[in-house]
Amino acid sequence: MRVPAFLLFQKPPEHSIPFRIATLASVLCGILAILHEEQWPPFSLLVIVATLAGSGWSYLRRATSNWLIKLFLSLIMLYALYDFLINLALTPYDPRVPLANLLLWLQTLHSFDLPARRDLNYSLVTGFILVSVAAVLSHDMTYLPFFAGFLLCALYTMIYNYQSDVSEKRRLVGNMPSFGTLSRLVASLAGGLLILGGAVFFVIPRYEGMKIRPLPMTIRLGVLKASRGEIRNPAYPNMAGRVRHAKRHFDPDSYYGFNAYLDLNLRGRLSDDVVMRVRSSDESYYRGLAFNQYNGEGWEIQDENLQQIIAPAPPIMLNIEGLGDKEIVQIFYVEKDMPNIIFSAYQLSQLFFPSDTVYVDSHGGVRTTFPLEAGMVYSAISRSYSPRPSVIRRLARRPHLLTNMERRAILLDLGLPSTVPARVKELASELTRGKVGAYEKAAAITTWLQAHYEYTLDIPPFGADKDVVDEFLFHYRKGYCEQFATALAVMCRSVGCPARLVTGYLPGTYNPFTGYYEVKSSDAHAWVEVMVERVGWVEFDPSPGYSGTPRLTDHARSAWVFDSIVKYLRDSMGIDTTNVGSVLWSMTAALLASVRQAGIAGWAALACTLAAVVTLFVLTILRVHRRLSSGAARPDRIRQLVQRLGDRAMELARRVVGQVVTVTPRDEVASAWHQMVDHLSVDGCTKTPSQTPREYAGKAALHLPKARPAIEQLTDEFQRARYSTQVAAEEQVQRARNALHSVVEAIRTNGRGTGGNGS
Amino acid sequence: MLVIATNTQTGWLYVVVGILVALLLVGFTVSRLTLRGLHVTRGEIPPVWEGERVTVRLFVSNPSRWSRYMVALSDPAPGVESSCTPQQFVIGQIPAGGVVNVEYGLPCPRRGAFAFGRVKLNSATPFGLFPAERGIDAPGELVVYPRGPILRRLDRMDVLPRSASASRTFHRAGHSYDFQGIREYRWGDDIRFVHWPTTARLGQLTLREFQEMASHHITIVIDNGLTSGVGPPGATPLDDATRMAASVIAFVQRGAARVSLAAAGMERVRNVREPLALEWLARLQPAPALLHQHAPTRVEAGRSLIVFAVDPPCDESVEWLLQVRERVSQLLVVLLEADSYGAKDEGLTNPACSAAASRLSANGIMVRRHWAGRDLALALRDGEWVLA
Repeated sequence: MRVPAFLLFQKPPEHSIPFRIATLASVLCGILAILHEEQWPPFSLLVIVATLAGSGWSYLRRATSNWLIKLFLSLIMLYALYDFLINLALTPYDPRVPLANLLLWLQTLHSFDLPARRDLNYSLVTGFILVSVAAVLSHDMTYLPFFAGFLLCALYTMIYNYQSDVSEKRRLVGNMPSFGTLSRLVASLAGGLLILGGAVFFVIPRYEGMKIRPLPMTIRLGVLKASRGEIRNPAYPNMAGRVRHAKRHFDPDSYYGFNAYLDLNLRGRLSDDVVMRVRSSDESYYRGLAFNQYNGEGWEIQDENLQQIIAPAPPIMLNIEGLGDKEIVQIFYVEKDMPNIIFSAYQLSQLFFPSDTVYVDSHGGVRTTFPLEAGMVYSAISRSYSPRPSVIRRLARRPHLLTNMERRAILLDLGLPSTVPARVKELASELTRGKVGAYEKAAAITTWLQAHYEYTLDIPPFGADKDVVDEFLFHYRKGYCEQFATALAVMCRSVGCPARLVTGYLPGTYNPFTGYYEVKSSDAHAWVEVMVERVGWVEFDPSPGYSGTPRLTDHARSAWVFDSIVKYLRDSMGIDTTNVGSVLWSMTAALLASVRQAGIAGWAALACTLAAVVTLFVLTILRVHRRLSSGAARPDRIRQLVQRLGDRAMELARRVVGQVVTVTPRDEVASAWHQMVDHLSVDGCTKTPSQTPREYAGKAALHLPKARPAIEQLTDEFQRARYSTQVAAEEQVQRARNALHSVVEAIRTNGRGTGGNGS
Repeated sequence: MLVIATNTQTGWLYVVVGILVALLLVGFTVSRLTLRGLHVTRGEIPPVWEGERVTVRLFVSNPSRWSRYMVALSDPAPGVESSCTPQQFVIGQIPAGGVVNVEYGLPCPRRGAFAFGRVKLNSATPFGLFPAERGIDAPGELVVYPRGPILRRLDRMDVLPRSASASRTFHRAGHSYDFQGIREYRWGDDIRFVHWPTTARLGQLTLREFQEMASHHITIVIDNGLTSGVGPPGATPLDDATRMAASVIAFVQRGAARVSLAAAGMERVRNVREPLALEWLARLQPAPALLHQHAPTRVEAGRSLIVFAVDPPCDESVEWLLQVRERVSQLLVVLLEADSYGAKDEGLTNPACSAAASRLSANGIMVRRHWAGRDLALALRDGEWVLA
């Protein structure tokens, strides 16, 4: 069969096996990273085996034109593209996984046609893209080994690539560096890259993102409808509906505040397991439910006027009043089973959720038709109104007509049970004396609570039939978020400000590597929303140690990674970051704890690491010692070293200054001569002011007979440049420099020679 | 990528970006550091004859404490070969404090003096991302001597003094000749004539010179006017003239005689031995001057003179030849037909040349004519002229 001419046009085949192996290894790292992030889909093994086979095949067939294979491969690639488009149409909300799969297949197919160096380069680039895509998909630290592996292999690949490139059309002199030599080179390069890359990583500022958004969510599960709006918490199955005095038990994995009834006398500690990872354009509290009815011992949601919202296609638009202008975009990756409550920043406006129906209660709580399961993903866009406190104060002083929202709040969120004693109300009115408007009143109470009460999780259940607020304020005088929030809400209500208790999660810890906020079970929190005139609901967090008004204070995450890392260490790993010593100490403690947890394997790993570090240290010491003992340890040798460093710096400075001040060749010759005099003076041959250059040259030649020609030449050049009318030429400068160089060399070798003789 | 990282808020992408930036920085710096501090020197290049190969040596030394890897070196070979491609090498590694010897053979098809200049070092070590280049001056000169046919004897002619021709080994036998004086040693002189007492006194090699030797020297004048440069490189009239001159020089040197050389634009050399004379010939290039303008006005009486003329010599040049004929003992004029060099027709004859030749012959001057492609020895062999 006649082959078309354009198919025969080919690049020279690449024969280097190490280059091919390194490329294959880097590509495999990319593929493994993707497969790992996709949790090893069923075709994993096929992709790996096909890539291996393809690489071997392309090596064997590197010198042939392979046009039939190429044709065949392009057909399969077209099919892969078709498959990608189909998948994209199926999941329009998160194109990352289909895209990653497409890349995976393209890479696999491409590995069957790698005859030339350029094709291998393309392979490396695709490998890099795969690793980057895996970076986007990743949500934990397990990505690190794949990236490190890729980096290492890619370094080898690039070096082999350059080696192959540079030896093409050139005759090789000597041998190319061996694998061992290259490995040493790679090791030092990798070290440099880590240091430099780390520095860059720290320096890159992180700005608020999520401007362009295909917001991810899991595929719609329209049929599954387990709930008609009532709250279902898998951890508290008995508390579905309004069971007020159900059997009390505490589940450390789930906060009991995510129920229709919040019992203020239930005690227990929540676990530190991650319940969800959140990608958020800004730091915010994740609001879950709001409670409006206080009965002295707990909170419940009264007037559950559920509104059903049905959206045939995402997003589900929530037409809630009083939406602000500040937009927060959040993506939630659910890691543990959770109740059927949507958590999001206040105030949710659009929801991308795998269901077409949600229910909204009259307090802004959003409930889904089925509980959130681990692995589920949903996205939310919230819009809030965050005026500055000064603006709020000004607005409160002006009379205005009540808005619908305010009227409803007065109706629902102002009532107090008769169990609340009078001293609570008295305290509240005393604290708010002279304050105008709900904002100022709530702020005053918040500040007072934060300043005078202690935050602790270790309090017993308050006595039965005792008012929780009264007990907290006047008897125990300490408590945790629930007590603080309840106290604030009750006191606000007692001075006529509508207020409600809200449960949800704290922002969690920002992991600067993955870019996710990691929200743990123990981040569950309770705070208060107060109806502020003409502004709407404003959050107040009276717990000590938290910002009193989280939304209004500028809560933006620091753009600098260093802050985030310090915060991550402190909040997530429990490392004390007050000073360097405590950081080291607590890091060691944390390390030992994790080793102890890992058992024998942990101890073995620790021993290996320690052994490696000690060996490295000893080797370094030995090397330095050898270098120093080879004549370099003598003081004058060190002095010379310092001198040379100084010269280098001077030369650099001169070069920099030379950009501004023009240095003539004459100056350069003169400077070379002066440098020679300096060097010789250090070596013991000083120049007296009365000596002419020629006389000095004679003396120096006696001092250093080896360098006689160079000394004389430099002196000649100096005299010619300094005293003749001719303009010094560039060659003259070069000659002078060379002479200086050989004089310095002579001084150096001389010093070494006498050193050896022990003089 | 940073935009993607910012938009998707992916922390790992920041790590990737950081490493990428570091990679670029390292790639940029290391390739430059690789070339820093390397020295290149060129080994001495011995002179060679036309058609031989010469070995060029370059020494790349690395006085620093770090090994250098994969450095490309290119040495632009000066127009020695007709295709002037630089010699390309890649040095696998240069160990710390080590020297690498780069060596290559270069064919030298034609006569000339060729200057070697800047050696270029390239490197994109380690990643091949940012190629760095550095030029290092490694001067050197290659002299290619012209090579003529070996003459057994100039037909019926002997350059040696009559008295000595009977015993060729006069200098070996230690005969004394009339001592003319001493002069400083020049490269190519026979070491046997060194006058050691003077050498010791002056600290400089000094040579005895004998009258017989001086008086029986030969003078060669080459007309290197611009027409001598026509024709393909290496096959111009001038090249042929130098080849013939080289043959004559080689021949007379066997008799320990010396030659003087003259041509336009060249320093005139007197009484030199073979190597210097050959180097002079190697450097000879066409110059805008006529024969009589640069010809020596005073040729020592009694000497032999060979003139290589290109094209018909102008009237003034013929006049000069006629004048000089009176004073020298022997005169041979070799006329090279420049027209035959440029043209395809090799035997092309310029009528003006024939006229000049017959005019010279009529005046008793021996004239040989030469055309491109003819045997060079032929022009010298057959003739009436006798030296001395």
